[in-house]
Amino acid sequence: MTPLRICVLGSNACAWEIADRLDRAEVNVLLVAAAEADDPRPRSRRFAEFARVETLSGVRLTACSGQPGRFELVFERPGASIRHTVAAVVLAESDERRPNEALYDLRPADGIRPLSDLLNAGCRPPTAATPWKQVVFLNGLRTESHPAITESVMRAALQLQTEHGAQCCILTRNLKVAGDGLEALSREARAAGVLFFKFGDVGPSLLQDGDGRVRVHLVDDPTGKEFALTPDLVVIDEAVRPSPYAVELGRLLGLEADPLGFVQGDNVHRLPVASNRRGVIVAGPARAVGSDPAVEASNAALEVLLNLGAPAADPSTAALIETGRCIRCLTCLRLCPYRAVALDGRPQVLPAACERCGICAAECPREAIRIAGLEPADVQRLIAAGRPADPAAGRPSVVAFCCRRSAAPALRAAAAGGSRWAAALNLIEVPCAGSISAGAILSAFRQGADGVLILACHADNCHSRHGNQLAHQRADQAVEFLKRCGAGGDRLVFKTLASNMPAEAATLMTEFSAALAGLKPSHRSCAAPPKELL
Amino acid sequence: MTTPTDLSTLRPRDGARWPFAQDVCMTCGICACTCPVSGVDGFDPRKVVRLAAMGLEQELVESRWPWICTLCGKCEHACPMEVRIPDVVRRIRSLRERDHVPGVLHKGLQAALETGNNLRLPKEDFLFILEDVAGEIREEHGFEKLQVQVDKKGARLLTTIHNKLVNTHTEDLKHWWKIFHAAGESWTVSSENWEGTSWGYFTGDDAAMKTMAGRILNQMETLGIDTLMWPE
Repeated sequence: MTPLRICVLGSNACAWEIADRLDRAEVNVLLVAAAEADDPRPRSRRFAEFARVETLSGVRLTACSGQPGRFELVFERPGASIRHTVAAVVLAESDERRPNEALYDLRPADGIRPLSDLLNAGCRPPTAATPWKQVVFLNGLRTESHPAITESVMRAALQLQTEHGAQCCILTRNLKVAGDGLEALSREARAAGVLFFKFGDVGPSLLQDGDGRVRVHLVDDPTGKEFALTPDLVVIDEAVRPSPYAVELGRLLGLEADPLGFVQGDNVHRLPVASNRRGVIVAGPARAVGSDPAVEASNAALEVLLNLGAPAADPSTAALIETGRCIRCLTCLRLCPYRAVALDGRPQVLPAACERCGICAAECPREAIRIAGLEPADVQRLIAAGRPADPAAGRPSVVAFCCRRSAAPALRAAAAGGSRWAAALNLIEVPCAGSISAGAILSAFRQGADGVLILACHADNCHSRHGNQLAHQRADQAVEFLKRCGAGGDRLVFKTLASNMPAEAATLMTEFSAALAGLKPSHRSCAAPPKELL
Repeated sequence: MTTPTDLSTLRPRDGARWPFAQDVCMTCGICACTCPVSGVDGFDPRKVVRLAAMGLEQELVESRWPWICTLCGKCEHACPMEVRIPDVVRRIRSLRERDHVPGVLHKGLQAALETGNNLRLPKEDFLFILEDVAGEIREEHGFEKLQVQVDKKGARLLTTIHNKLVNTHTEDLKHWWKIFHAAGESWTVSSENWEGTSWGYFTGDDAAMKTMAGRILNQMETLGIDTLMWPE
């Protein structure tokens, strides 16, 4: 059987670096460029030297089905549809720059240019007869700038200053030089005579006269000196955004996005190049601004190779939807953070994509989803196994459902570190707080727990994207139930913890123990729970 | 309201010919925070560096700011970009007309260049004061045999004299001499060009500093002395 290929989407330096590395590792690559005009060429080697890279250009990905190890991709170009089967997808599409013209309230005029226009024109005046004597660069005065843009601004200013006799001024807020070589570049620019003016809340005033010329008036912050200038050219900075196609691909593949639309969620668990979806790797300009193509390529190639080398997931450990119970409400499809539920007539779990977080099973209104080890009977057994030997000893008993990534290690570290609390703790480790169903919570109370803790990861730090939020919602609902049945809402507490917070975990246990000590034991107060809870 | 300076008149590259790296100032302001005289008449070291980096040399030369600085060097020690701020200040001071150097600094320097000391103190007065101070020390128990040997060839150590020590602070001479005596040191003082202070340091006059340092070196060579104690 021919080994499957890896599909790399993109035709920039990063995409080629990835192809290069995979090719050297004897992995077959399908490199796909969206634009026909793209003439993607590797930088490191001549194309002829690539033994295992096939390119496809002028096509757009329109569908993706299957699962990690075997994705079916459909590419389209006018009049043609092309199918490929690949083991994994690496998304490395380019970002793009958008001028901030509108932010500066300046009308288009001859003497005003977006940064990219200047760069594309080779950073030189249109003719030698019309030199630019005074050039002003606006950088991050209205929105946060990015070091990638600052780099372009400094390079352009340096070139105009040294090669074309211009006096350049860079007007900026914070000068962001957090990138390779940027501080050296700023030194070089300063040494060449480029003037930097940094502003706080009060920026320069930019007044445009009738013929479009911009009069700049500014106060130099360090000295308090006022300056005025009517430059020959005003260069406007830009924002870096993902390309619309990259955004579209992210949506098509069901990827989390950051607030700017880059196809990697603001979630530490995804770094450096993972997405929320197994087998889909995000790299370079597709996931972050100003990333180093070589570093990104190295990470992406490594991730591909690790995935290829990993043993296939055991399908019996994945979630399973019982066809007899499923009513096709698609709650699972909607909530799966990993895109591991596919709709093929009915929702089905893709075993290779399933991460066993348990969110689908906890949320399924029909309890139609089963996960080995996480079924209601399994949870009940765990609760029973950890019950205090002598419930009448006067210590309140607490069942703590803990995410295995955060609260479980934190509580264990607290105990190992010598922290003690009044309550008898029954720690039940779960793959994600989102897997704790309302049934599991109430089961703990039915088995005599005086209090229940739902302990999840911090906001925006849940490996399963929204497992912590779902756990919080369910806890709130359960509190309402407890109030209605007279057991008291104080017996159930939702908290977030990180794995490195044993001290906070111990404090929480101490405080919760004290709160429970003030309540009546639950097995007496909740003698006859409402029928709907059973 | 002041008239804004026309930015196109700035010559930032003028600063580049200076032997100091003031052009890399990131305007962080740490120097201004550490400076013991920040705030005096609106001075702070960052302003000086900033004006120099913008090429506003003449404005600085005419300003009082460079003369407020005490050249203590805390700013330079704190600067993350290693801008040699006291050197920038000295450079600016050097550019001022010598007649307009504030206070007695340039007058004293001129006196030193012409007479060998900042006070224009005649040689016989100088020698009289030295002997007078030595006489006072000899009245103290244990120092009866103390001698000041001037221009002693082959001594181990030559020491220079700060002009105030033969003027208003003669008591301060005594500590050194008593230590030399107790240690059995072979030491001497020069009868000419004995001035230990070099106000060229404060006025930015490197040539004068070189002249005065050269004189001291010359004395050491003439007297065959290899060790110098230069208390300034």
